[in-house]
Amino acid sequence: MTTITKRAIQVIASYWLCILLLFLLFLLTLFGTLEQAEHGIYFVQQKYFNSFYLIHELPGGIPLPLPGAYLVMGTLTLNLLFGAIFRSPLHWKRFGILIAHGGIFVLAFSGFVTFHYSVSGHMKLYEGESARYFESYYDWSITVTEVGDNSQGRQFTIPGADFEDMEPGESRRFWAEEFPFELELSNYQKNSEPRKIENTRPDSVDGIILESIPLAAEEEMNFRGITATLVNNATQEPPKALLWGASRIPWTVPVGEQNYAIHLRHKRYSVPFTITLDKFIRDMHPGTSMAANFESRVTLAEKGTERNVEIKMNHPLRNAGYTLFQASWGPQNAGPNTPLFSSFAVVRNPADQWPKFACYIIGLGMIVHFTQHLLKYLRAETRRRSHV
Amino acid sequence: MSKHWIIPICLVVVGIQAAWGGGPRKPWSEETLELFRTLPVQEGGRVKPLDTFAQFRLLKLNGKRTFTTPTGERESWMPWFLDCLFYPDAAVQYECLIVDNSDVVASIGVPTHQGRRSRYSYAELQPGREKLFELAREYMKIDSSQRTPLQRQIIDLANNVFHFEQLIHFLDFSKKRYHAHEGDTLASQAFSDPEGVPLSVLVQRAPDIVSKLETTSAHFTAESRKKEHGALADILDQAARGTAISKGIHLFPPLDLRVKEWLTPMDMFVVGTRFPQPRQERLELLASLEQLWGFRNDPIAFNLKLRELNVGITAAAKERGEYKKLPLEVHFYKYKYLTYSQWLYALSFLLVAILWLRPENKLLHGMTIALFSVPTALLIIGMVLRCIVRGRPPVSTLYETILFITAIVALCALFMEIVNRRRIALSAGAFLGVAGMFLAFRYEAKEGVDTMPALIAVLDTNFWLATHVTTVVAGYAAGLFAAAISHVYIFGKLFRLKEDDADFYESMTRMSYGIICFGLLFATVGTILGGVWANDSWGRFWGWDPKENGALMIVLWMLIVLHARLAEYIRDLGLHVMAVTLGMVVAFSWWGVNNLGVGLHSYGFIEGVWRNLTLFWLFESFVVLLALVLWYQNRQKSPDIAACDKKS
Repeated sequence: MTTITKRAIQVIASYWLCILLLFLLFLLTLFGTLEQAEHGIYFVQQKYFNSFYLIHELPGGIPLPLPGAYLVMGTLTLNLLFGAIFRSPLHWKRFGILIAHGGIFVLAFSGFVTFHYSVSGHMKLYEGESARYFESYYDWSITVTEVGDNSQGRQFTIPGADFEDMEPGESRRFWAEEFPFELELSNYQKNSEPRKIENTRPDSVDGIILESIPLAAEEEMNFRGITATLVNNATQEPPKALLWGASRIPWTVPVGEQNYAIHLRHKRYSVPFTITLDKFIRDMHPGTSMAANFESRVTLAEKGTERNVEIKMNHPLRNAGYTLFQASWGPQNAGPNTPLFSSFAVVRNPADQWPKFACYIIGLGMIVHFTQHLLKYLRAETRRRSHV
Repeated sequence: MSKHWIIPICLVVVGIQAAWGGGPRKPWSEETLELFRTLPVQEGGRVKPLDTFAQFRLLKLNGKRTFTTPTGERESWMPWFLDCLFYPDAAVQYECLIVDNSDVVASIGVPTHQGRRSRYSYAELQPGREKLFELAREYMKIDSSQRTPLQRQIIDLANNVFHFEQLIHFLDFSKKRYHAHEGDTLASQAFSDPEGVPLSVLVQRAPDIVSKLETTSAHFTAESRKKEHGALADILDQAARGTAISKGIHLFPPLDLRVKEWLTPMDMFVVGTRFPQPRQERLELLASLEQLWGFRNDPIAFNLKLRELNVGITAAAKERGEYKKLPLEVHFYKYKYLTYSQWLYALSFLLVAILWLRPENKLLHGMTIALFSVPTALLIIGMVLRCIVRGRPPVSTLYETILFITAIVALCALFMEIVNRRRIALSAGAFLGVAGMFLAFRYEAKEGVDTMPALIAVLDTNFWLATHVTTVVAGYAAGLFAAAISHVYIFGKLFRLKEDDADFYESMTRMSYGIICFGLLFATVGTILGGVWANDSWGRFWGWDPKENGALMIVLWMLIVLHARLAEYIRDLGLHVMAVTLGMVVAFSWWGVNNLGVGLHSYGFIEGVWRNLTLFWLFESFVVLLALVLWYQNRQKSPDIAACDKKS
């Protein structure tokens, strides 16, 4: 091993790096917590915790460059690993510490797997409705679907990553081989709302424009807006529409003999089973508006079989690698005969239960280590008092 | 609870000035008080003794559990509550409506008392009542986060006045008799009593009249039918107005076991006369209640009727399976475990102070340990009783975290004192015992709501409450206790206490270090278990929610302290400075993040928390600064003195 390699390993495995990284993570957590009051959790998460670096603004507008929590936690995991291999002598006195650090490594690794390989979203169903998909909370997409009696139901999807970085004034074209047109997207807005105008403008359609509005602190309340133009050589005037993320109805446009539905919506993920909401039950504490319990009775259909399942708070449904949680319900001010919907948080996470095992390992390691310390302390105190 | 419903109801109430009966107010007998204390009522989603309901109502309105009559007598909540019901003309003179800022009173055009914070009687505030509700209505339209403190206080006062009115008018329905004015109608035949009939009789007979009207409808001419309907509507209207404000106490268990919500006198009227299928609820209980008003100046008859009411409601509550833990709750408040615990902690603290003056006195040391054990035992008994009453683990509300932290600190202090007998753990424990119980009572008075509330759906899991919540809160306790020990170290050094006893200071370092180790175990396991619970409830292990972050910050700071100590970057003084800082981090996590108003764990804004936290942080920063000065002085002095800062 060269001197430089040795030195590098010493640095990576060092206590000072460990303390520095822990302190940086502490600062990021503190700043990220305080800033949530103003900017909402989504933006704070992106800025402080999912990033490699960031500029934090101190009071008085003083910029403070900081590494992001992603980088800090990654380096901390390396520090932990190298520290365990190169720094810690293998001794029974340090056995508990090694177990605890092993548990932290499992925890960090499960965090890494969750961050990169899990998908999450929600499934909203009214009583009697079924679904085989769920929608992302934050990711957007534009889908183009063949519709009508003689359609083959072909579809192509433009993921949000392909249009969400568009600058003002920029336009992009998308096409698929089996579709006889190109879709031109322009005037992209992160948060928008439709507004009626008196005079026609280049960005208006049928006297309506999508107006850009300030971003809401809660990302779920930001609705994307974009202008879609269907470019087809056969037509003189290309049809144009405003696609708005809050709209549940797609833009349907005929091209030749075929109709096409174009929809800007949250990204959808299919699941290998069907969920039907049979009944939603909500119980309030008597005389209050506080929920005592809410649960959904659903039918789960897969591979030709059906079974009835209850999903309620703290009792999710785990099936085929997906977990469905009772998240919310509505409408909140529903009368006795108002149809209710139930909303499930849906997650596919390969590391779903790993943190639990990590917790057991860390707890065990600490109990072993600190019990050793406690016994040592008690022995020392007994000795001291016998000398007094 | 949302306050939006208050203002519309107040509109209904405006103008109702019941001609309540006067009569001299007499002291309530112990028998009467006991019968009322044990009376089951439903409030906030659970059935509880009237004792609990009354004390938290007074606490909310008055800011304390006692009140002073105009003649200077100090009384507790139950006499106040009964005076409100049975001697409203006396109760309106009691100065029991707390106002934190006299500007609130000035803004409604009422003469203010001397001093910013004072208690007013309803009679004093009544001339400004309409203005008060008008302002409150206006301020309710403003988003709660945008309201000024004055606006919040005006809304609070309107809320309190409304609740007070609900009490003094609760028995209005029983002060009246209801008459059928139109002669020669089914209603006038049914209600022919010259004195009129009480509400219970009206509710009993009204459905029969409706039934008769329906069956004999064909015999009536259009005009006579109109007259019949008019007569019935008239008497029902009288009752509707009579019971309009009699809905502050849900006193009557429904007959139908499937119906969960208990009924108020107004509900008894509405449900009992609901057409076309009237339900005859427990009208005998309603009759007993309305007769109490008439007997209020006759203690013997009053108690007989009250016993009847108590037995009836208790039997109904038992039948519904809602009574079992009620006597235990009465016992819990009657024997004041927590109050005695607070005073005995204060006494222990005094005894510890004396012990420092007589350090060699082993008898005194033993007595102090024994005395310190008593409030700890009382606190633990109180917590166990609460657990039994609620059927929950010890911590499920912010209030209970205070009790639990105090108990954990006290137990740790006892353990350490028994092990090393240096009086340090006992001193820190006694101080935190007093501080913890004081905080618990302050918080309770500030909130003024039942501290054993029903829980929201997500908290309805005893497994996670028993594991995650208790472990993470034990981590808080350890952080605070370590910080307290480190204060003793820093102030000891500053005031040159036991200068020559290096072992004395080293033992504090060992204690603080050991407690941080203990805290790290609990904080880490608790934090991760919280994530595991979140993964089971919401589908994600970690969401960077403020409360999660607060717990993580405690874990991170403890890790920094232990690693810095292990690597010898900090020595004794450094460890204590970081332990003091740990206390500041715990305070942020415990109280600060709740007040950010964001996240899934936001328990609502508690006014004054930021101010108190800022004062605490400023003081602790000052302690850290003093420690740094100490460190600098040690560096300047001879190596002998600097040696006190060596690694233990």
